Amino acid sequence: MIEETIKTATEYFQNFFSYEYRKRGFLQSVDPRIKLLGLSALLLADVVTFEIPKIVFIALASLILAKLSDVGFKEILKRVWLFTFFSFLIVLPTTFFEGVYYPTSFTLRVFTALTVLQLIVLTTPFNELLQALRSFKLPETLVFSLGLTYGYIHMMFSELFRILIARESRRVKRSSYRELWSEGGKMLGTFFVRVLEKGENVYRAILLRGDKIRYYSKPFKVGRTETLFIIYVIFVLIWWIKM
Amino acid sequence: MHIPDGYLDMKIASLFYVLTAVVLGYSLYRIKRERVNWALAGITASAIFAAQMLNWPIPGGTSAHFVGGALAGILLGPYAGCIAMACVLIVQCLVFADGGITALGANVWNMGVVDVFVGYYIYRLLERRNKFLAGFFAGWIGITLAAIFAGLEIGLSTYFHYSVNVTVPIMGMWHAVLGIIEGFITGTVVNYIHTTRPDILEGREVKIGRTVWIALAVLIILSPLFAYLAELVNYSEPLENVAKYLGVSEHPIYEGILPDYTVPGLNPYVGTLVSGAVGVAIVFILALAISRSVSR
Repeated sequence: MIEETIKTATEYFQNFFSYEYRKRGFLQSVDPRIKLLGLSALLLADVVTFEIPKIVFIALASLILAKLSDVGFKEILKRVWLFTFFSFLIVLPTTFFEGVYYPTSFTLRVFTALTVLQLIVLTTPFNELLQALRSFKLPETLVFSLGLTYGYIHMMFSELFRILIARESRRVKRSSYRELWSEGGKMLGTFFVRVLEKGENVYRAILLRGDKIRYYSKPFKVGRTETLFIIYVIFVLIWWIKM
Repeated sequence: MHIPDGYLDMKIASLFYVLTAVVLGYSLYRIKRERVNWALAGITASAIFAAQMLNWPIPGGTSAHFVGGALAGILLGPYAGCIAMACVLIVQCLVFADGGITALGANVWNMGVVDVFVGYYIYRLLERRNKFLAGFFAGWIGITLAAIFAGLEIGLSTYFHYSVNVTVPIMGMWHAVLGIIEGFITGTVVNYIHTTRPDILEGREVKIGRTVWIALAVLIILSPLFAYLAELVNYSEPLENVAKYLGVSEHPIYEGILPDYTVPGLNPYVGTLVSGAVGVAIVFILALAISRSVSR
């Protein structure tokens, strides 16, 4: 069962990293730098207040952006429900001495913050995020390490998936639990050495090409979409202040 | 242990952003001067990313999972380890929405600074005795301290209506128990790497520098100052506060040799100092004895 779970998870992550979300919509076409700043402003507006109407307003404003970007409410709910529910459980005992307002507003804040974060995640490819972080003057070494980590995560999952498939294809008889665990331990060891050696080869190839990791970089633009997005965020924030 | 958005107030979140930025900045400065095995750094970070997916919730706190900060520190050294952990946490935050943007500073501080540096130095202290035990204690103590910091942050945050009296014990105790698994995994991996690819750990097997011993000595010498400061702000044990609040008192069945950290017949302050020194010596000698007997 454990092996099957690892295989399914590995398959999911391998696909996740191979095929990033490519839907086209409003937020997808906004410059990543402006999008990151604008959505961070909405996130801040959500986490600095406990007033339920203000939190609900930011949540609605975020869901409108999601709709415009072809990100379904179900998709967001699927990704945020667990931690929202978990946060609700954590603050639930305070109902007995503080009433229901605090647990409700706390849970709503977490739900809204997670929704805004999902908007960034679901509409921004990783290379654009790197580009945005670099343009915010984050040190080059840190951005390089981030790119390398992301690339190696992909490589690691694809290698693990191959090892699991190879192991399955070699199995001709039902093994005892003891044998399964022993084989599992050996497989993990082999996996580590294989991934490390492959990682070293990949890094040598990067060095041979003459530089570190190059990430696709689009020129900074403030077009009609960006202007619309900025106006929308400013409008939401002004309304939020006046509420 | 990933704190999401909405848990930390802006003061705590900003404070930990600043503290983390200082350590990350210094680590970046240091790794530019050191020869970093980037392939190993990338593999370690991605392996830790995968291992962190095993996650389970803790009531009254956040959640528990393999953190791997100590392992990163041991394999890569504290500075590259700190950067690798920061990368894992940034990818988790920006790609999987695991851990909040406003709480990113605190999350990197707990898992990328405290866990990495504490784990690394504990490993360095014990590695010559036994690799597995050194890795075990590094992983165990590293994650427990990181969890205590997470408890402090959410407990001190005005947005979170549980005080540190609740959050620190819950986070600390749960992770001290579950951290045994973290310690076991860290010890096993370090031991395995030492057997199959000792070249990875080579170069880190240097004698503990004078700086580490000086830092430890300074901490021990300064500890009475913290006791004095604690008295100035009327600090008392959270459990004692709870007992006072509930109107219960203790009925010890054995007073101990140094009851309540005092020496009978001696001034209480001097008695606390003496019992503290005795405690440090006992723990130190025990640790040395255990590691020596295992290394044989």
